[in-house]
Amino acid sequence: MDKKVMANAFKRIVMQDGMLLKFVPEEFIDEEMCIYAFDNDRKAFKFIPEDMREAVLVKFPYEFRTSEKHEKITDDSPGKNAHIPEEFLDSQEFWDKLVEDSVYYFKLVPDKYKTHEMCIKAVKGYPDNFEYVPGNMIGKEIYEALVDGRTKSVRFNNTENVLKDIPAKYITPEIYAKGIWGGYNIDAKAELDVILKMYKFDKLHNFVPGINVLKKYPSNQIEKFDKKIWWNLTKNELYNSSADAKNALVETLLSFGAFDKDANQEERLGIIEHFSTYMPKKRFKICLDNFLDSEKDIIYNNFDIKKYNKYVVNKKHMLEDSNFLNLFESQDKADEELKYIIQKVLQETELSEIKMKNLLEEYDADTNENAVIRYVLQKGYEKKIDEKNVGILLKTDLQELKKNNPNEGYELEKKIRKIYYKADPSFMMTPTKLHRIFDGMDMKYKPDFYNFFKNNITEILKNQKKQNEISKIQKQWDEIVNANLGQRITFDKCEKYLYKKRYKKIEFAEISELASNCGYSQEQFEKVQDIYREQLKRKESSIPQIEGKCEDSKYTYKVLSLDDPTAIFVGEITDCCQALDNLGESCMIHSTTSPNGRVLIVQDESGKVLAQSWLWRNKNVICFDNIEAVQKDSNNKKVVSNEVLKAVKKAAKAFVEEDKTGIKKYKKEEISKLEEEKDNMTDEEYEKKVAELSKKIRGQQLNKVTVGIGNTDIDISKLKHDNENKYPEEKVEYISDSRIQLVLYEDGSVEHEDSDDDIKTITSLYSDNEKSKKLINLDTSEIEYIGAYIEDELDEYEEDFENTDGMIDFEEGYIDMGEIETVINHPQERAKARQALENIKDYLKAREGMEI
Amino acid sequence: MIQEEYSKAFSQLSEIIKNMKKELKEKIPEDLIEAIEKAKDKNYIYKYKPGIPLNQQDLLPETKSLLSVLYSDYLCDEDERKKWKEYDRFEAEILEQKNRKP
Repeated sequence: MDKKVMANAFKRIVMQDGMLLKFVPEEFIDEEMCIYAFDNDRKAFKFIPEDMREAVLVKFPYEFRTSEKHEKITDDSPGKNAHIPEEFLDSQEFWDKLVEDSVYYFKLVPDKYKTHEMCIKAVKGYPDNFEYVPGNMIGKEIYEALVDGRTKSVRFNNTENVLKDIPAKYITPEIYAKGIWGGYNIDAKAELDVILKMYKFDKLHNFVPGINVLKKYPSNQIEKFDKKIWWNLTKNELYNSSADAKNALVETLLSFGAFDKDANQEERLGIIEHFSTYMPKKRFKICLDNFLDSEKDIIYNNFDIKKYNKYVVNKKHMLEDSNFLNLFESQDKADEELKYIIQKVLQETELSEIKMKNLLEEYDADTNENAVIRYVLQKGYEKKIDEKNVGILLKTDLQELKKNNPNEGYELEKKIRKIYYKADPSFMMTPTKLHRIFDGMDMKYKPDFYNFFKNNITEILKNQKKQNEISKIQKQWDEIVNANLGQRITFDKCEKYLYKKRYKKIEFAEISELASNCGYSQEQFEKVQDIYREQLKRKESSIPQIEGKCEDSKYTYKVLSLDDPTAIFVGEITDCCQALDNLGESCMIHSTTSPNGRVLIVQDESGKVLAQSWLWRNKNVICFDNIEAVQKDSNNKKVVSNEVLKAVKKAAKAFVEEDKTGIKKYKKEEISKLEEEKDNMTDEEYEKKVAELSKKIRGQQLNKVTVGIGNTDIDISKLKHDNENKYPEEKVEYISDSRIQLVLYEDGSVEHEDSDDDIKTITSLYSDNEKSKKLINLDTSEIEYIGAYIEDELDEYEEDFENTDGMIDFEEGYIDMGEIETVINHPQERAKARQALENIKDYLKAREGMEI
Repeated sequence: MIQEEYSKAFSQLSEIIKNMKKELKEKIPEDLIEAIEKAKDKNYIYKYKPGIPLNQQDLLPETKSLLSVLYSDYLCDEDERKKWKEYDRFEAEILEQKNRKP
């Protein structure tokens, strides 16, 4: 990769966060980069190489003026003395120099000294300076500078923010492209992390994978990466179908030790490679009628075909059988009874060999009725060769063919894969299964776990529950092995460990129970407990809590209550990635802690959750990010889909109707508040306030509900596309499912006006009904709060307990010095802030004095 | 009134202090924390979102200024404190000069 490109990327990083200079490889650091870093954050000085410090200090003459060394450097600078000479303040040169040294002083420059060039520099360097640019200077170049400045700032982290307030006529393709760069939704540290990985990949392997892979790939494993293995596998359709599948490939490779060069590496690679065509070595029964002629040709040419017998009913033969007829009063009675036995009892006119065997066993008991049925089975069904239902076993050696004739081999492999899929999809590895199995693994090679996987691969491929468990087993493998004292690990043992767990530091019993049901580790339990603590702080939402039932359907829909912990685990229940340590973790956090996020579920009549959706709200739109249905077999899923869609559409309409009522109530309350204050304002002021209120309402009243198409399990193809298609205004990392949205419901009668207001200003009008029930009512009476422990960790726990004087500390904070340092660069009016703090201290002292 | 201007900022500051690591929280005098609690706007609800960096938590400029004062007065080391004093002096000079101009 071009070194200049890397150097520029690092420069952009340190412009956003100067302290990140410490991570930049030395070979890329130059004076310019040091100046950017120092300009962004003075504390970055300590990371500037000795030989470059001089250059930086010359550029910033007002800094460190107490040091002798710098007194010298800044000898002739206008800021050197305590009192800036009066004449300097009337000099263009002084103000030019001041802004040249630091754009943050731009706001102090009198308008008459602000030149066009100075304004561009100031806005580029610090976009907030835009508000100090004189109106007559604002034009194309200033807007370009504004976009430039915003794209370099972490505060403007999406396209809409970057392009905010820029008149449409100034949004050129170039400016828009810059906005998109800002729209990567990636903060400076994450970007640096990605760039450092790019650098490392490039240096070590002369190859850089795509951005999604870079984000996922652990930095400490780049050294062992092997691009030949990578290229071979990414040729495979299974791993190349989506970003999720590629992420799963990274997880698969690392947790299978594909890059670990040992005696078994080839075998492990073989397994990964063969996932795409993996089939257990056994014969499959297929119905030839389900295959096209071209597919039948492939079957005849490449599979060993075994034909089976079948039994076909012959009524005529039975009605001529004197033994059978003698059992009844008349031929009509015999005919009637035969019809009944075939249609109601045996139910089939054609029976397979196995079915025949099973039925004979079923009617083995010695009763008159059974004797007649047995007689019909034995005499009334004729044995014939079944031409349609056959057993197939692959006889072509695909590996050999691929080796000798790769084009033909890979082409045939694809076709055979389709046949396998039609024959029995449950044994096939698909991108969805791959994602489900490997998402959340800790990307470390654990040889014993690999052997466990290999030995259970058929069961894993067939069983969705096991697919969901496997990453948890991998993560907790060492603990599972320890708990079983070196015995051979089976799925049963793993499940016993995962689901019988008791946690330490239990604050919320429900969370402990739900986390245990999901097989979470202690660390994961603590994380979800933190999320729940935040969730409980959320008392209002911009999304109303609705629930209802479709008139012509047995399914109900319901928005989970604000304090329902099930929302944290709903991804586990419905088997989607909206779960802790999974790709959609940020969506789960948004749905549980943001006032503009919630979860909607659809249930059947027994209360079983059939589908769920993460809801997010922008001002006038609620979006069902996607609709994830609980897996069903293919036929059943189709029936469920239509019903679920009906329920979801009904919910969409209910949201808009509920919001109309809510807004009406809100407007009434606000108007009556204004009425009360009316005496203290002029008519003009009153009218203005009413107009402002109406504008606010028009800006945020709900008029549309959309649904994202990504990973949506139901057929929504008949819905129309949403032309606006906006992404969530609040920052959420994983939004790929709603990149394309369709309209579920739209109410054209709702008066709406586009608003530039920040999403944070949207009024959260809705709190939950006190009686609203949680989705899962758990009996937590037996959960021990402080005394809960994992058996073999009892001693360790007791030590902890002693150390805390009997109190478990749940209030460990997150914010450290580093975090604080990110927000205190160039603070405004520190003197005033200090005064405010002094005042409250005085107030407290004075009050205490009075009390004494 | 300075206090009114800062009451929302005190609410945010209080949340930040609550979520600070224990060793940092301990450096701030208890009476000051108590005073911040009393001075905050009780009707303004600010929620600190765990897992989201502080610089993306929608802090008011006043909160950042207050936090910078807490940082320079109680949290940082002596060397840094000196630099902040310089920063304050320079800001005061510039403002003074500006105010002196007719």
